[in-house]
Amino acid sequence: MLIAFRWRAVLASLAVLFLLLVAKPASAYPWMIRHEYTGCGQCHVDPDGAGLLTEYGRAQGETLLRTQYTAASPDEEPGRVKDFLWGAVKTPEWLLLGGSFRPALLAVSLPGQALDVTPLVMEADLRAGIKYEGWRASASVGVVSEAGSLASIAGPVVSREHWVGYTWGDESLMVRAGRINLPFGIRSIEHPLWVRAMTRTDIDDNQDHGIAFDYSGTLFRASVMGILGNYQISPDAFRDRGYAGFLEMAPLSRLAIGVSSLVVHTEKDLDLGVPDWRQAHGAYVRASPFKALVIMGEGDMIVNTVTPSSASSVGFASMLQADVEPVQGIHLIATGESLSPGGLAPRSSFGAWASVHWFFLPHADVRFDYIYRAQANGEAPPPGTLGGGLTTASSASIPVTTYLAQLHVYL
Amino acid sequence: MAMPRSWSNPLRSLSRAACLAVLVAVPLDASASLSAQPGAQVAFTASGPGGLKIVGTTSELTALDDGQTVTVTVTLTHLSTGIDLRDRHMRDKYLETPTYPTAVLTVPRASLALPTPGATQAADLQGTVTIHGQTRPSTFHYAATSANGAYRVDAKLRVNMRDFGIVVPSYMGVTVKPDVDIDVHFAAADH
Repeated sequence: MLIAFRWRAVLASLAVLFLLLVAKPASAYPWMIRHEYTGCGQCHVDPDGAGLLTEYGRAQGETLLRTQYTAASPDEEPGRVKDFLWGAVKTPEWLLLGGSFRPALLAVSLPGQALDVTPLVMEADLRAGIKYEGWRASASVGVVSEAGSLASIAGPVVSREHWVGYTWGDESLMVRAGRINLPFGIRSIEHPLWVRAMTRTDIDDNQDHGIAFDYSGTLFRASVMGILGNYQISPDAFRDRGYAGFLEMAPLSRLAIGVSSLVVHTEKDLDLGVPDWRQAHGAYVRASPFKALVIMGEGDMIVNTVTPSSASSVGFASMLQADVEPVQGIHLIATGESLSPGGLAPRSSFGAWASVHWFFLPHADVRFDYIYRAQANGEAPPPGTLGGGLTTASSASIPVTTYLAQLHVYL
Repeated sequence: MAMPRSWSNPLRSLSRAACLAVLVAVPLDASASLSAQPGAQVAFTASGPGGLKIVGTTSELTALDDGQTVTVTVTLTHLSTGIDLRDRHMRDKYLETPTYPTAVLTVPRASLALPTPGATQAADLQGTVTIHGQTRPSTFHYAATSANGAYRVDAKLRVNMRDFGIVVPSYMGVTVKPDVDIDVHFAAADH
């Protein structure tokens, strides 16, 4: 009876967890390395990528991202259609405006249950930024369809990022303060990937307030952030404090290799409900052996140490992804991932993604994902012990199949 | 790598084979004759704000030794950065390749020396560079390695676009630095 109860609880938890995790992505395309863009600062106000686009980024979106339908178009100027609201509104050079709207249909299949189909508004954000001489600033505000976002400022109203900074040295150096995406690993839009979810470094709502120092050079780029906590949640005991950072080297125009590190302490961990030290240390690679193919991989060791007992778990999350673009604008993406939570959960979970992403019109793309996960079965570990997720020593795995269709339009 | 376009004509290739020489390492021994081999690679690297790096490459290189001067000519009309629109800007707006289709480096032959078999000869030399129709003196570094009767030649130089009357490229708020690094790699064989 108890086992049956737990099994149902796990299934329900998995469905809810995935739904929450899959929602609300922002745009970040690390596969732009195929065009020899190893860094991000030319296209995004955030030098580490994602979020508000610069004018140059908007031009690349029109020139390089979307499908071109005429033979002569690859070297055509992008025109005003690239601009805010497709060029309907002319903004001054120093002011950057943007926004994203991403409705979706999510279907989750769990053993013994009917297919659960849920319409979602994954993202409905407006963004504004400033690029004036050395000053940089970026802020977003939006609404989400479910409560409890870590980016919430009032119920369903969220602000994922808001920061101000100053850049110098031909924009190679920047210092900024505010709510900032954590600099760790590959900054991609696939938030539910275990490398993002388990390290809590996604660009959905896992930003923190703090001070970041960024360096962007032709051979190296790096960022380190002093984390002061997420001041959009309370009480203060929930706030992480520590650092996160990465160092990346691009020895070739289409090859980038990086290492990441994160150490934070919280008085009351959001998942465990107890004081703990949380660490993640890992490495990643982005490589494009030829223009049509980008391979990305990341592996992260995840260490949780509960205080004052000093009970620790050492887990590992990894992912390997191949992005093939046979025709400009159409991406065929295969992703594999694994999670070994460690601690009381010796069993591993595995996932496989098959995705199609098509940038079919100016400012618009559609994406379809099929995601199969063999998720280690179990229960949440009790406070004071560590399992790193929905895991236990039980012998079974839960097969979870997810279908996701989404439309993305940016302003 | 593609063979230099000028070799596609057999007659021209034959005559050029008699006088082609490598950029460096030409001895004063009049009996020596060198010719460039397929596989040349020329890269123009520009950098910009925020770590931007733009590399334009081509394999269209020829070398001519008239006994007094070694002349290396790089055809720019097919220089590619990997992005069509950027290539068009580079060709039409900045390098103006319809009018100035080549970049040329000339070096006094007397200043060059060949490495002995199995050795590497490296030095900084003075030459002249012609880009965008304007000629300027330039210092470049070269290294030539001899192995199995052939030579591997690597040369590097830096030019400033402004010195050659080239408008510094700027696009959508991103302006590259005026300095451009040029890397030249090619093999040459003894004849």
